[in-house]
Amino acid sequence: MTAPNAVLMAAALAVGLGWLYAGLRPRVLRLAPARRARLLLLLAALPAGLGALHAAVCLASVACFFHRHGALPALCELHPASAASWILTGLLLVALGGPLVRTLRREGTSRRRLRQLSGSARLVEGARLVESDAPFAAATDREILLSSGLLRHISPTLMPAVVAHERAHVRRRDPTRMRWAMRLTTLWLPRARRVLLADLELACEQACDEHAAEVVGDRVLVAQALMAVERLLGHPVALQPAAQPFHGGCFVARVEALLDPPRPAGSLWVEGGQALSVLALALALTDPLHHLTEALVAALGLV
Amino acid sequence: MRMPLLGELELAVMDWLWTQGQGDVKAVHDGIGVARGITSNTVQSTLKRLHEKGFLLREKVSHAFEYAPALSRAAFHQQVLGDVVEGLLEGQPEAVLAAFVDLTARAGPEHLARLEQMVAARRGDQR
Repeated sequence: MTAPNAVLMAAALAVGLGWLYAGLRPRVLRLAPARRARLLLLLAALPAGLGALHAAVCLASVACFFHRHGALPALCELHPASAASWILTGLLLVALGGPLVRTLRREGTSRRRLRQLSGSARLVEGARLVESDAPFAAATDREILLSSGLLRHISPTLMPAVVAHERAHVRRRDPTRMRWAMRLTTLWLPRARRVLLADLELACEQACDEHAAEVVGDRVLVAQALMAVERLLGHPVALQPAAQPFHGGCFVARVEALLDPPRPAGSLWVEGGQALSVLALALALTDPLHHLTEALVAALGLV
Repeated sequence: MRMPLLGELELAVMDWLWTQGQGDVKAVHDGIGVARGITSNTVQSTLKRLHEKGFLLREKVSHAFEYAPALSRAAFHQQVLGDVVEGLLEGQPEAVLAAFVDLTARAGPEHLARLEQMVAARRGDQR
């Protein structure tokens, strides 16, 4: 017994949320970074999560929920779905399965390479020392990696900002957060997915910048550290990947944010009010969405 | 060409040889094998495999092979780091690591010059 309706529901929700996010994005980008990152991860997880919840509720019901209530029997997962819904689900899974498998395979290879790097690097003052001329500082799921090139070329006054930033990534488990966001947004339309993931990445980076600024007590120092590493990475001695595009959107936004005064954290009342507003909007949309789904189900001959 | 991936034991053997410089099967087994509870045959096959992959050089001394790293730890790191960055360029941004500054995109000089001016202005304000 599979769950074709759950997949279709998650896909429809992903499309709807992508459209909704395009409209709400300017407001979301004004939120404080840590809160923004939480909200964006929630958005990324919502379609797949609700799809899974729908399937779980249906499969856990002793008596079929949708048949028992006499409404939308097409959404029932307990009884064999119609051929049309199976075909539609199959097409969707074929379209998404390939890219997802490729993503997971590349991710696995990258993680194994990183394990090679950290496994062969010496531990120096809580960080793994990568012996490379490239100015490299990064956090994995569990530890931070610093290159000997970075330690040689960057001013010692800037290093605490770099280390505090990377430690914040480890503490917040940002690589894990990004990995799950990438997996869970497979159902999203490509453009909406790119925008959401880029915004989430920026939010995570800015949250760690803010943390580093608190630790070193100087926002401008963190901005200077970012610029110093950016300048080093622009030099020919750096990593030399095949092509490094010149856009720096994330970098520029981060430095500009650090040079601005910090954003107020906001109160629980404001956050609760925002959550209630989103809930009210979702409830307001429930009825039209319900009728639209019924119309689509009927049009596709799934009932 | 990308560096072949090494297993956990292979990596431990390389680490030991990078630190010690060289050693035969017995020395490597004493160094890392005993603590791990593995036999010298396992160590021997690991050394042989690393030699075949091009990570180790070997020379017959008396009746035993003496193994030494074919590349330094720094050369190994440089190569693996390059492979990691290439992987990022193929579409794994931030999914496996969070770099301090994006490794796959550079800000142009005009952005840097403008930001430098902003930093200087902020430092000036603070004085």
